Amino acid sequence: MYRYDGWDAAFVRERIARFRDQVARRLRGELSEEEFRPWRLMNGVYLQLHAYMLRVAIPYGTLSAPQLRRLADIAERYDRGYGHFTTRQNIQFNWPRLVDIPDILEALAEVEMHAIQTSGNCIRNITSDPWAGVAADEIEDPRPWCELLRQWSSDHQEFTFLPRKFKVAVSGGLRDRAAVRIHDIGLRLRRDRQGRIGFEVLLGGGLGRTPLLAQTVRDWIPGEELLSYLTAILRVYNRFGRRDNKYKARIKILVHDLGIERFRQLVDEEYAVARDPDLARFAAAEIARIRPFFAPPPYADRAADAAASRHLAAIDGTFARWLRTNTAPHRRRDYAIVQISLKPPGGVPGNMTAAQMRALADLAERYSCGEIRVTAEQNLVLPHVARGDLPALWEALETGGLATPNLGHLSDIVACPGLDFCALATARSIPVAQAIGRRFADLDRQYEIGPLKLKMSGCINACGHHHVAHIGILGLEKRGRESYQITLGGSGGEEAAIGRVLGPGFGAEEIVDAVERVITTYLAGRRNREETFLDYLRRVGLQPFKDALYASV
Amino acid sequence: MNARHRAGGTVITANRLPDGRVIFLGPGGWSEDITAATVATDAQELRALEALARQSVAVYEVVDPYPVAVEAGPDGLLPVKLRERRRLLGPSPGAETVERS
Repeated sequence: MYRYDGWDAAFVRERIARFRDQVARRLRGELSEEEFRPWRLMNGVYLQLHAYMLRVAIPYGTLSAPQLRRLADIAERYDRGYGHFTTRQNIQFNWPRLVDIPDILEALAEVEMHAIQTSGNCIRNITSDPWAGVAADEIEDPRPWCELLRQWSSDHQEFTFLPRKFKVAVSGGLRDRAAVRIHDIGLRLRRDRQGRIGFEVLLGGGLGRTPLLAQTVRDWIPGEELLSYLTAILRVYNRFGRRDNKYKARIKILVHDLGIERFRQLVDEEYAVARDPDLARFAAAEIARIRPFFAPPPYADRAADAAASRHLAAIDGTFARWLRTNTAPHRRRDYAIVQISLKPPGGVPGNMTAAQMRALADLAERYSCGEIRVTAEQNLVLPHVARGDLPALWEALETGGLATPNLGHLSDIVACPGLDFCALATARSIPVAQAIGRRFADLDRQYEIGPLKLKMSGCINACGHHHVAHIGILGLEKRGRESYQITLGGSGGEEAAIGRVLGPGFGAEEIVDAVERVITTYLAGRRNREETFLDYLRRVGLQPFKDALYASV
Repeated sequence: MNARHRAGGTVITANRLPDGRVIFLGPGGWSEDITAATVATDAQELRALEALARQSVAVYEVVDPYPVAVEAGPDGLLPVKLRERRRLLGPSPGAETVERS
């Protein structure tokens, strides 16, 4: 993992001191709310429905065991004993007091964490593949590049007041596990024929009220040129992006309005000016400095006991199903990637108690070289687990309520905080997610249904990524009541697609039954078990689902 | 519940500056308890309440005060709009994760 040098530590400390002073001035009345708001947002502090909320950055989703323990300490001391992992690999605390937040930031800084640029119209936390560094299909670990981008974009004087927020994702695998096509900029790491590292640059993706998939603006840019090229893109956006209308201010609207060809032309013109050999040399040197921080851990050779998990799976069906659903191939054959579901039946998607955080931190130290990852689907990952340790790890996870074997299945629901917490929300997400989770709690039924992604958002801003769900649910308010609209056929991965609206919304008391009818329609119509929900939908279209849900209306 | 609360009207709500908690303006000042709120039943009363709220902003007690329409519910005053009801009632039962005993 990356470790702060003296400069990083001093930078974060200086920001905390500045924010402590801003909070004190706000409390003394020397700053109005209008004056204070941009500063609190730049430090991750929102004023939500019931209280302040603090969003803490987890750069590219990588956490150490001591960092996770510190998040547990903060949850207990300053909040209500839990945290909420988000779809951007961050964690949110729902109840901090403004007066405590400078102290919370100090506590975070002690473990090299911060909340800088987790809000505001700036470049936000860089997200990445939660399997970075261990995925079997990886070209190169993308995290050194993410770290380079984090440093470059932190407090960047030119890009701190963009027309709107700006999200960047970096993928290093052959398969896209970073959802690069739904980001303002998506970067796919590639090697050219000479073996040099570079990136395909995708531009203009995003969800919200105008969901659009990113398009390729450049097939390949050499790694050392990346900062100059992104500078060119951001300058074009800063110059032409709309500041008059918040709803049309994201870069996706500009790309859509200009067209990708015209946008590319503008970027190329700007790149001719922005291309900076000094910046390229700096990037190359900095990558060389950062890369060793992400070197593989000193793996013990565990080939001798790698078969232990297979032996237990042969006699213990409960372990076998966890092994099947919650582990993935590691680049070493004697190791596995272990996925921790934060979606127990009836649970709040993405939530974790302080006790669970501490338990998982201990397990990460014992079994995963002290490392944890956060996923964009609100789950966690232990990236370095010897196959021989899987039975013992599984038992410990079971004890801590962290072994729900539902990864990639229906109850692995992504949900935003919705109207239970969020000031922007128009309907609740959590109770609906809980009700669906309970309705489909039967694991055998979930396995019968097969791979399925259900995601829901409590408003049009789409933090729950419902547009890219196989089954998406959007909560709205209609005539004073919560109404839930279903979209079908979205996908956030390799074959990214925006889901299509099925029809009029359903009331809170109807939505679970509506999902049930979607599922039974699929099960009744699929050719066989190999035809997944998404395959079936792409074959037959929306009509059978419309017939099932609206025929009697 | 007094007669004004039974009749419904408008209350002023805000967030308390130091901790962000939801509060309502009443004759005794700001309170987390909506039953302690003053209910304005006409425009003149509402203007007077808003003027009081602005004073609280000026002395750094509260953030972003605004009027909320309320009506009498079975257990006391309830905001008319869904969002404001949720803001008063807090997260749904079970929407917060608690330690397993």
